[in-house]
Amino acid sequence: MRSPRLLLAPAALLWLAGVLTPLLFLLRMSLYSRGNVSGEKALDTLFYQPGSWSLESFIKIFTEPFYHRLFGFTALLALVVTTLTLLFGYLLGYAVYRATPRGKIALVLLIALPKFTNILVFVFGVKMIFGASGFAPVVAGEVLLLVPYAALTIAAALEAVPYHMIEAARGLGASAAGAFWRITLPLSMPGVVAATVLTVLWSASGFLGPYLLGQPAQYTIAVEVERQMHQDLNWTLGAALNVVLIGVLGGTAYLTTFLRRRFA
Amino acid sequence: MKWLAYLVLVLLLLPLVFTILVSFTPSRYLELPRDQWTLQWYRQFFSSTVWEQALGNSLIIASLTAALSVPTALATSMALVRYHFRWRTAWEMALLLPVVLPAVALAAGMLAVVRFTPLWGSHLSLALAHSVLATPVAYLVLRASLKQVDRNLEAAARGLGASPWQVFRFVTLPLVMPAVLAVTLFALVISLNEITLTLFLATRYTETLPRVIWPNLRFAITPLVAAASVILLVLTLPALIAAGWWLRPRRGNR
Repeated sequence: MRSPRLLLAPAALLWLAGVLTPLLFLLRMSLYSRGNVSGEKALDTLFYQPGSWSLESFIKIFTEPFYHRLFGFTALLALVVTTLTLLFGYLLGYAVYRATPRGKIALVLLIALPKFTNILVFVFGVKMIFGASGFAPVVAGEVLLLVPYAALTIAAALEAVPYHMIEAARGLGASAAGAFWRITLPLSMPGVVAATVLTVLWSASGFLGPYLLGQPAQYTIAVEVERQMHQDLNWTLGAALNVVLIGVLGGTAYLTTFLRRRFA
Repeated sequence: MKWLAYLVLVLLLLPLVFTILVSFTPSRYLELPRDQWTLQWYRQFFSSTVWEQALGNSLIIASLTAALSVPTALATSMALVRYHFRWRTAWEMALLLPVVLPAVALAAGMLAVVRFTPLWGSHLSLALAHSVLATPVAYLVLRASLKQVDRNLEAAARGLGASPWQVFRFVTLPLVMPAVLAVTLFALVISLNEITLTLFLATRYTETLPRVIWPNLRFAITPLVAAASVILLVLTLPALIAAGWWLRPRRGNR
């Protein structure tokens, strides 16, 4: 093709319209002062004060204890969910690694199946199994939603571990557990790190699980965003929460890759 | 340890099994059917205009999403796999960004943009939003498939006088066709199942099936929701199986 650049045009247009513009609008929206909800107002004055510049939303987020608790709970949930997801994901990934070729395909399909079914169907089922709303159903729901990604990422990394190395270690007298800790686990670390980053990002921005399976005590930042935008019609605060969330997550992801490059 | 892995797998699949079973319950509550099975919830689904409209909206938006995202991803993967770009990694990172961005952030930003344009309340606005999520996935699959195509075949066609377009049309495209069909189905499935962006962008006239299920899940749960969920499952499952079939590893490739 004469101009390969032209081939990138559709994706670039979609990206500008569907990713960059929304993010820029979000940033600008977070810097308006709050709209006037009372009375007969035009839509834009309802959601925000056009033309205004204000840090009031950020000040609110950083000073009110409610938002401190919100961020604290979101971090705690992300920590618990990530730990369990990695544990179960590794177990499943290892089962895929050790399966016969035919078993591998079957296992991968079964693991991926829930990801191709509707998330609401899935949450609905989780609700029936783990009972009414609370901390346990939220954790169970989020873990089950994320385990397939972790398992498949770790399985892909394990596939690259040559099995004869493990056999060699066993032959030289290592116990099964010893060979696992000193050979299999270190060699599969890239997959574990990738799965960790993805799981932290997705669990910290989790919306559907906490919203559908939790009580208000289990609501996360993402749930609060939806609440602010749809119920309180406070678009500026919702946008500011998003900006802080993206900032924290982006910083975490950057720090992780930086530390990995530095020390691994 | 192995049994623990299988336990996780069972837990992963159990919610789906439960939902399917409950959709056949004769009870008005979420109970497993014991000795009686009934199709009453399915009958109720198809006799309600709300659900039927939602099904129609879902199908329109899913088709539009596939029509937008698959050609976009195909063009992008052709460019990035076959040609050298200085900012190639940056392009890829940008392209994959929507996958790791918090869905609510993307949704809130899109709402702020679309709310004040004529696109508000159109099927196209939802299809564009879904395409933002479907294109990166389609790109990843197509990239893998294009990398497997033997470059010598393309070079031979060029040597025999084919134009670059003819090479693409008669050599490359037929070779990656299974992947193109598979990502078309992925795009349909992603759109049919998407809820977070839909929740922010859908209006009364563009409510999809998941959007109609949504309030029922929180407030008035009846087995009708299970039936609606199973109908979504029935729409997506054959697509998944077909996609898996088209993407199966074949001898003779490479």
